[in-house]
Amino acid sequence: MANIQETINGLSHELRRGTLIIGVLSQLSEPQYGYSLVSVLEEKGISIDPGTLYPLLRRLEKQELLESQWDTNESRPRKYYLLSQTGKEVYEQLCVEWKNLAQSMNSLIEP
Amino acid sequence: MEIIDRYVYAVIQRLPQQQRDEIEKELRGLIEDMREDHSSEGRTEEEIVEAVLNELGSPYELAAGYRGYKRYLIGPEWIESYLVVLKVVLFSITIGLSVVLAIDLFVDPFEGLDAFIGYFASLISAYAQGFAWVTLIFLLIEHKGNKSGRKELPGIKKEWKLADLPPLPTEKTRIKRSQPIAAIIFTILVVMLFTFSAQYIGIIRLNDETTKVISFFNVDALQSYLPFMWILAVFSILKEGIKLVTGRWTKTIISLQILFNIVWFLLALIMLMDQSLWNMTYLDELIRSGLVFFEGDMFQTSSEMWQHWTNILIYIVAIIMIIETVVLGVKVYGMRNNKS
Repeated sequence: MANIQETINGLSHELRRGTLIIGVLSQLSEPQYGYSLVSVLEEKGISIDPGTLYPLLRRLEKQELLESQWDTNESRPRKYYLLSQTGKEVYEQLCVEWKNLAQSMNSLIEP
Repeated sequence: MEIIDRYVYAVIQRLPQQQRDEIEKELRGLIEDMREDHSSEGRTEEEIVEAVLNELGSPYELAAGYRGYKRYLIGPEWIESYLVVLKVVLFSITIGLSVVLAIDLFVDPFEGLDAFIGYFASLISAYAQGFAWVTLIFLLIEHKGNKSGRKELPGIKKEWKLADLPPLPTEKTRIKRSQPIAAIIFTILVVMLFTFSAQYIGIIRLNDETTKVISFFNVDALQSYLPFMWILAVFSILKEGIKLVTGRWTKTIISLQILFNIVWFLLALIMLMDQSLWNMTYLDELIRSGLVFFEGDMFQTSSEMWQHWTNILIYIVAIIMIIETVVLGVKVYGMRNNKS
């Protein structure tokens, strides 16, 4: 029985992984730093490890979907991320993809 | 806190130099934020930090996430071929050295213990050599393959075309696995014989009491040729490895094969023509040992006699090489006909 649970955990982890990027992009029309993004996503029911999010943010920046800026005014320096122009376009397209996918999947799994 | 420093160090140590500073700053900020978040639960500072770092998880995985790609000495694409070639090479070394040991024991049975000690010492150093060379070669292949398109970001792959699919190997173009394996074993065997037992290559004469070997070679002169043989052998083994992995004759492999045949032939030619390499007293020793008798002035000097025999040897080697080249050439011709 434990085995089935493990399999389910592994597969749903895999399922969520692909949706993380869209989730992250959705919250970055306002500048956020990494850990505030973790809390924002958590509030909306999307849990993400900081250890996954931080490398992901860097990667999206490298792909030029995000822009970043260090804020050194606060008690500790923080790197703020914001959607770039390209990022906005990509996000909109991804939303269309997601809606189509969700619709198709629903029609598959609902009798 | 020391444990935080250790954690951060463990992460950034595995990252490219130019990214370290920024990632360190970001990571320390994150850890401080998480500490504040966890602090209201009435625990000691140590416990909080411990909980935070445990939540962040393995620093090695975190570093791998930042790098975005996994690092391999030999990656998954090549590891199978690497293991096959490595096994064949180590196996051949074992056989080669065992043959050398057998010759040693046969020629001089009384030095059994020394021979065994030498055997194990050679075995260890030859394994180390074989392992190092095979690994180095595959490392270069791996590195070259990765340079063109490092898989940093998912979804970016080398473009693949249907036309790239290799044709099914036919009976004519297939390379049986046994052929390159036998070639590797043979190459290592020959090189080891020349390296360790050249003084025993010759005619062996058994008396009632002693074994007498008359070597063909002047062993000292042979030493200067050994490095060339080793280098050539290493590249030959690489070539056989490629044949083993590819499993069929392609134009590149056939060209390689012909090139190696020519280089080996040239080496053999140079060695055969080098008078100093041969044991000039061979004939005298042979006659003195009573194995061979010559009728009077059949050959005036032993050096003339040598000239005669080395010429014959050169012809034999040349004929073998030409036959193999022609066979390979016919293969290329056949491949061209199949395509059109």
